[in-house]
Order: sequence, then structure tokens, then C-alpha cells
Amino acid sequence: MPEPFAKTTSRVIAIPRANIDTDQICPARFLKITDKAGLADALFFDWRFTPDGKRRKPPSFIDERHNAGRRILLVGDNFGAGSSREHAPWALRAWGIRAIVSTSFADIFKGNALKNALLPIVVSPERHAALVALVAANPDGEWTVDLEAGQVKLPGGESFLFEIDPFARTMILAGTDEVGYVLSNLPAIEAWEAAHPARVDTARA
Amino acid sequence: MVTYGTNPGMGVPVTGRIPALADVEPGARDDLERALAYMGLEAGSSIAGRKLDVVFIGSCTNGRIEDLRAAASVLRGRRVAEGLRVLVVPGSQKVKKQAESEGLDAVFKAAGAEWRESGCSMCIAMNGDQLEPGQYGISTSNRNFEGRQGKGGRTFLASPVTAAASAVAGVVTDPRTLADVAAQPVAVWRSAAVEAH
Repeated sequence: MPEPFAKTTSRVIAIPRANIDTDQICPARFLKITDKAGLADALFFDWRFTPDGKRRKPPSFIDERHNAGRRILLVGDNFGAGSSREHAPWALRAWGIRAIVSTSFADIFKGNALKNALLPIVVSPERHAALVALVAANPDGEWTVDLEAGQVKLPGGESFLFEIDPFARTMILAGTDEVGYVLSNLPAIEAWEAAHPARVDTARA
Repeated sequence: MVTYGTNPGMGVPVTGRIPALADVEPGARDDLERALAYMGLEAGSSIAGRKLDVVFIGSCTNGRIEDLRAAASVLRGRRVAEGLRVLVVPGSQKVKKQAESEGLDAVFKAAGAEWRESGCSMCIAMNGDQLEPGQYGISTSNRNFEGRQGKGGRTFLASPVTAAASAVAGVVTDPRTLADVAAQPVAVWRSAAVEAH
């Protein structure tokens, strides 16, 4: 069962290119892995490692030392396009990412992300451009993503609101899933079931 | 349509040219440049005539019996280009049995293609079926992302008929021009295939 998640404060990794597909996020050859923790190494593998599997020198991209521990990604349009693999959000989560800001997400990726308590935050193209400029000007500024308030607070005091599917929001805040949600209503379900035969037993009527 | 880039939307007619940077919106130029750098292609050049290393006819997308019939109709009595690896992978065991009952497997094998068990194969670089870094493949699957068919591999997505015609010519080929292709040195291969049977 996942942990409840409500808020994260972090510096941001900006990859403002569009159409980053799931084969870049987690290449297909890692799909046989089912241990999610081990997937952190697979994240953006071919961008970080040479063709013979060695870490690029100097470390590139998310491996750059200043990116360690960052929890928020700022990416271009249509993030998560391509193959519908849950390994993509698994790898992002395993590496430590909790929220991704873009102008749009591929639909299946978005669904998979929400099931894994990874927040897909959609902003307008205008706001996206402003955020990319903000990170360029202030690469070490800390943002706070607050799921409860549906708000992102930017360094300097500015903030904006975002929307997440309300049921997914409830699940993530509670640290549960659909099954957990149903089970949390068990007393009501059992009470209903206990009283049910009397409601339908027409033979006695 | 044949793709030249690294997502399925980056495609042109087989008779067409890869877009020039000026042809696309300013916001899409970075994407185009990055895709062409990965693919080793030049903006504004034609897609037909590109040299191939591997041809993959199969996948859940284009591995139906109709697709195999279409590909076989092109390869029947022809021979795949020398040095080219051609994989034909039925979409399912049922499709495989149907194809064999129609003799399509014999057509592919006579042409010099590999007739394989059904599966994902080179669509997702499975079972060792993959491109080597820098190689070019034409594929009837529907995914052409960077590294999808093998690290550093470069994918052209195309129809089964276009892939089959390209298998004969060894380069990306408009199937409507295949009569001309067959009149080239490929004809020697064709007679060799006839003798073998």
C-alpha cells in the first residue's frame, strides 16, 4: 500500500522538450523488471549511459550532481507518449520524482502516473513558457507542490492552481487505491449486506 | 507513408521529402533537428532510396493474415536484396497456421526471408531481434522512438507492401515502382530462387 502524499518542496529539473516517449523514460528492455526500486537506474537510461552501459562522463542530464534529490520535473508537451507501460511512472517514482509539470500528458501515461501517486500537473502554454524561463533564471529555486490545496508555490511568492482528477486526488492523499477505498467502507458494506436478505426475501411477504 | 523521424507522426508519402526546417513551425524545429540527427538524415531530402539493413514485417499492428498476404504478393517470385535481413513474424499462432495453409511461408522462405514464430520480435527489440547501433530498418510496427528497435537503431515505419518492396530493393522503395526494381540485378536473384525450387 502506498504512503499518503500531500506535498513536496523541491528544486526543479527542466527538460523542456516535447513528445518525450515512454521508450526514453524507461526503455523496453527493462520491462522484464518487476522490482520497482531497481527501476531508478532505468530512468532515461539511454540519455545517461553510453551504448556499452557505462555512465556518461561527465555525468549528464538527471545524473548531474545538482539534480540529485530533485522531486519535480518540468517537461514539454505530450509527455509519456508511446507504449503504454506502467514501468515509466514506476521508474520516475523510483528515482524520486513526485510531480511533473507539462502542457499535456499522453492519456495512458497520465492514468498510470495517477495510479502511482505521481502528479501530472497540466498548465497552459503561456504559463509553461513562463515556468521554463523561471527555471532558466533561477535554476535552484524551490517550488512547493501542494496536492491538498491544488497549488504550486513558486520561489518569489507567486503561485498557481492546478486540477487533478478528484478521485485520484482522494486516493493519493489517503495513500490508498481503489481496493483500499472499497475496504475502507467495509462496515457500511457489511451492514448493508446483513440487512439485505430481509429486503429481497419476497417469499415471506 | 513512411516515417523519417522518432515518433509516428513524423511521416511523409513514400514519394515525398523529409521536411525542411523552414517547413515546420518554429516550436517543432528542435524536435525535427534532434530526430534527424538521431536518424542520420538530412532535412529536405527524399525518403525513397534510403539504404536498409533489416526489414521487419510483423507486429500486432500489421501482422494480420491480410498483411502477410499483401507482403507475400510482392515477394512472390522475387528475392530479397543481398545482405539484407528480412524477418516475417505472424501476429499470432492462428495467423501463422492460416498463412502456412495458404503457402505464404514458402513464398517468404523462397524469397530469402526468415519465417518466424509469432511474437513481438523486432517491434520492441525482443528475442535478440533488433537493430545494431546506426543500422536502418523498415518496420511494419507502429513505434519508431529512439532505441525502440535496439539501442541506436533507426526505424522507418511503413506498410507491409512498402516494406516488402523495400526488402526486394534493399532501399526504401515505393511498391508502385517495383517492376523497375525487378528489372535491375535483382532479376539474377529471382532466377536463382526459381532454380532452388
